[in-house]
Amino acid sequence: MAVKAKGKKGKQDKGDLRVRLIRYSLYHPLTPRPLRFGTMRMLRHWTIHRAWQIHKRNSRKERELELERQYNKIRAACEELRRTDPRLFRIAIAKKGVGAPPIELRIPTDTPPKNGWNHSWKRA
Amino acid sequence: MPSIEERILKITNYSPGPLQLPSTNSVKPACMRYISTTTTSVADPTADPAIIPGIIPNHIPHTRPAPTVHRIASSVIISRSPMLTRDLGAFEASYYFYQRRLNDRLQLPFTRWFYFKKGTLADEEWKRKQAAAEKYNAYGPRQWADELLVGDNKHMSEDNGYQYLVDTTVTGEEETLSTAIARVEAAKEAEAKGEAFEHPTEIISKPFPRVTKAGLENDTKSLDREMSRTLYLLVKTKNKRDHWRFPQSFLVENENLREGAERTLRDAAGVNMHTWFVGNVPIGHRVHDTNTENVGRKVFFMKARILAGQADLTDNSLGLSDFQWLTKQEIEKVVGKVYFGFVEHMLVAR
Repeated sequence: MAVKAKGKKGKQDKGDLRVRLIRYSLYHPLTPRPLRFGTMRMLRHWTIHRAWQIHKRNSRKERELELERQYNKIRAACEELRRTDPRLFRIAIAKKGVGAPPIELRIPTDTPPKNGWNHSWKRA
Repeated sequence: MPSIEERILKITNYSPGPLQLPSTNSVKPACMRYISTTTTSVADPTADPAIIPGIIPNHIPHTRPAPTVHRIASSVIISRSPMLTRDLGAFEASYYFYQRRLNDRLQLPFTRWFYFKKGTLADEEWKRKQAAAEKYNAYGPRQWADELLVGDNKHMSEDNGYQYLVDTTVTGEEETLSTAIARVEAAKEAEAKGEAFEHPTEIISKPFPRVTKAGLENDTKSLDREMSRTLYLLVKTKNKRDHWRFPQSFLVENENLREGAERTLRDAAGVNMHTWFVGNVPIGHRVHDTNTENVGRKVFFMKARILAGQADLTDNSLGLSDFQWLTKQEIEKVVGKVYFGFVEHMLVAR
């Protein structure tokens, strides 16, 4: 940042113009100032923040409970299968043929694809 | 880890005989589909190969005699996973907007002179578009007014702010009046000749609306509906009382649960579905003890995903008449209380 004096007095090497511009834009005179809130605004901000934390906790708990219920269902089914047919249980527990998910699985996006769902897919 | 029944047995001191694990049982023929769950007359395990000693009854105490034999059925829960991200609730949307405004207040202001040289066309375009845009200025005199007022829904735009971006972004590819007129003339000429006129493609392709036509029409057969939720395939059986169920059939020959589920899906909905079975493990079960001729039924549910294609019930061998793709909430209304009680916790709410 420091401009280095070089050579004769009064003649300074200011460096590349583009670099100087980028530096100047980074050290803009209106560099971010701290957010200054009044009492009521601060109170509102705190309330919003607390409400968001509670909302997040509720949705997280809901999801965790859902996963737990699904797991318990699987566990109960496996137990029933073990008591019913040991052969089927053995095959179900062995991870034969269980691999990575196929690449056709779509990641959720914000907007739908152009042609929508591929209803006309045919098995080759 | 002892099962619930084993724990109950310990507590109640109820002894149905020597408790044995299935692995220590006498060898059972592989083709044997009928499994005994009887708890009486198991003095000699070698007497009948179909009877396995030490199998614990389902309910203690019995309200009615449990069937001695269960047939095993495999049911397939095939789902279309969400294609779109989650829909934001009103609170979430306004919270994110609040945070964005705070972020605006903390960001550096846009340095126009750094990006647009003075007097250039781009600079003029930027000035024109910015002047027209109604915008919150985090560095203006009203920078403190970053909050939404009650009843203001400006942040909830139908197109996710696409039109605002089009109006304010400097593209440098603006259509002049003369080129626009020329294009309209060419289109009219082509129409007069009866030819198809190809309109020039847009600079930025417009995103498609999140609610599709199938969603508006509530076409439950379409997979384009409820794109931000999980849809499940339900089929209607043609027996005495019509009811909606997940596709289901009894295992045949030496099938395992997954093979049975794959065959069930093929028999029910045809081969033109690109599917993926998540695993070999059942995600739930249901035991029917009330059945004729002392034969019970155990249904094991298998989980699968559809990646492409559509169900087709023509000439299905399971006697099905109709199908629907439904969300969990809709399934509750369609299948009835008892069945939903069994499948409820296997399905995801979203």
